[in-house]
Amino acid sequence: MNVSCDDISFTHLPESESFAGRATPPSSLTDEQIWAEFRQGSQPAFEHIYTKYFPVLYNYGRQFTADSELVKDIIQDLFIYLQQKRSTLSAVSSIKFYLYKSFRNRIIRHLNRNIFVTNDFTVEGGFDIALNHQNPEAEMDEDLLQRMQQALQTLSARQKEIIMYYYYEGFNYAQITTIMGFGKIEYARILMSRTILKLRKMLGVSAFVVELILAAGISGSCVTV
Amino acid sequence: MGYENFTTEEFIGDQDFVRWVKNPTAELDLFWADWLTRNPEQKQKVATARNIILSVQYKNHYQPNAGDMQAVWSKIQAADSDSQLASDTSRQLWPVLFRSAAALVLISVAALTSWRYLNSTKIPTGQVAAKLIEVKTARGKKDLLVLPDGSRITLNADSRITYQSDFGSTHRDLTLEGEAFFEVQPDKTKPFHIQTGNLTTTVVGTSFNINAHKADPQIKVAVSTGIVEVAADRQTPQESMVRLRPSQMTIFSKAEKELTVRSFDPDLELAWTNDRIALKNADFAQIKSVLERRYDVTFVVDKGLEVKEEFNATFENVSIDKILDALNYTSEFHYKLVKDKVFVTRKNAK
Repeated sequence: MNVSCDDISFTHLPESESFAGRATPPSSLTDEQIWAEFRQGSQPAFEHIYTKYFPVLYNYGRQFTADSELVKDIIQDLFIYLQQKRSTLSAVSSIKFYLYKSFRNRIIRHLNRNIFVTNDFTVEGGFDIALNHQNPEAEMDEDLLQRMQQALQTLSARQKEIIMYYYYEGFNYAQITTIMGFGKIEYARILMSRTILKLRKMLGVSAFVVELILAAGISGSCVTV
Repeated sequence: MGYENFTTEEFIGDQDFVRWVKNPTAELDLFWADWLTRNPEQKQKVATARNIILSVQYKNHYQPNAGDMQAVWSKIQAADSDSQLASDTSRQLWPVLFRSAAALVLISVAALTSWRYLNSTKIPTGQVAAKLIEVKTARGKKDLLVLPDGSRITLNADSRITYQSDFGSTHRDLTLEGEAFFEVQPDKTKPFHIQTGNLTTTVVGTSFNINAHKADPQIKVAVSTGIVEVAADRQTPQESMVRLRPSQMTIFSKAEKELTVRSFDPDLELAWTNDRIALKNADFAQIKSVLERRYDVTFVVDKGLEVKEEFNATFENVSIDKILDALNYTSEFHYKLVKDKVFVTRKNAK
C-alpha cells in the first residue's frame, strides 16, 4: 500500500479520466493523480487544490497564531512557491500531508520559536480539542464526556497537536514524524502513548470502566460500512 | 491479528483501525465489513471506538472571512504572471496593484474550466502539417474562442484571429486584426505571442485587451492582470519594447511608430467586453468606427460637412436607435438611421 515517491510514474490520464476542463475532479481521481496533473501544468488542478485547502490551512494556521494576516500571507507564499516550482515538485500521495508539512515549517520559521526546546509555540487555545459526537443516535455519558474534555485540556500543546493529527486529520505516525519534525518515528509513537497514558490517569477510571460506560451510551448505534 | 480480543481502547490505539475510520478505502471497508460479520460480538466495541475517534474536533475551528480566499488567490495569480517576465519581484507592491483585478481573474478561471472541456481537441504533434485556422467576427457580432491551450479570447466585432493548427504544442503564436480581450493560460515554457502589424505582444499568463483595427491610427494594448511585454518590430525606427503592469496601457501610433505608456480606465477600454459602449472625449472618427462595428451600420456624412464634436457617453445594451436619439439630443448635427446607413446632416438643414 505504501508507495515511495520514486516508484510512482505518472502516465498521462486519458482525456475522459482527466479533470482538465471540469470545475471539480471526478471522485475517482486520487491525490496522486490530481497532484500529477497540477505538476504537468493544469490550472484547474491547481485551482482545485487551492479551493479545497485554503479553509483547511487557514484553520490549521490559526491554531498557531491569532494573527490571521500572517496565516494568509503564509498560505499565499506557499501557493506561489507551488505554482513557480510546479514542474520540479516531487510526487505526493497525500496533498494534505504535503501542505501541512510545508505550512508548518513556514509558520514555525515566522513565529521564530524553537519547537525542540519549548512546547509553548501555539497560541492560547491552539489545538484545543472538543469531543462532539457526530452520530446523534449515540448518546454518550455526558458526565464522562465532560471529564474527558477536562482531561484533554491538561495536555501540553504538542500532546494536543499530535492527538489532532492522529485522530482528526487522519495522519499516520510516519506523516506525523515529518510534520512535527521528529528525528525518528519512535518519538511520535512515544509522544502518543504518553499522551494516552496521561489521559487515562486524568480520567481516574480503568480502561475497562470507560469502555463500559461508553458502550452503554451508544447502544443501538451500529457501524455502517 | 488478535482483533477478536481487542478492547475499545485498543481499537482506538490501533493504527490500522484509525486508518480505516479516518481514511477509508473500498478495500478497508470490505475488510472490516467482512471481519464484523465473522466477529459480531465485537460490533459494539468497534462502533464505540469509531464514535470516539470521529468525535474529536478542533475546539476552536477558524473559518476564513468571505473574500479572503479570493483576495489571496488573486495575489497568487498576479505573482505568477509577474515572476515569469520580471525576475525582480517585489511582493510589497502586489496588494495595491492587483486588488481591482481580483474578480476578473477568478471569473476567467471559472469560465475557463467549463469551456476548455468543450473545445479541447487534441492535435497530434508532428504528424500532420500544420494548417492555418482563422476565426472571424462580422460586424455586429462578438465571439468567444477557446484555444487548445485553454486560453480564452473574446473577439470583438469585425475582427480576425489566425493561428496554426499546432498552436499550443510547440508554440503559442497568433495574429490579430481588430480588437480582442485575452485571458491567457499560464505556461512558462511557451510564451504567448500576438502579432498585430508592427507590434508583438508577449505574455505568459494574464488578461489584457488589444485594439488593433487596420483602419485605426493606433494600436492599443491594455492590461488587466499580470505583466505583458509589447515590442515594436525592426521595421519601426527604434526597435522598442515596453513592459506593462496591470491598469497600464500602451498606445502605438502608426504614424510616428512610437510606443507610449499611460494608465487607462477599464470602464472605458474594456467596456465592450461587458456589452457596453463608453466614450470619453472621443472624436467623430472614434464614435463612427465603434458604432459601425458594433451595429453593422455605415455612416454617411453630408457632402462638405465636417463633424467636429467631442463625445462623452456610456451606453449599456441599447439599440442603435436609442444611441442616435441621444446623439440628436446633444449634438449640433442630425443623425438618422435608414436601413443600415446613418445619415449625418446639419441640424437646421433638416
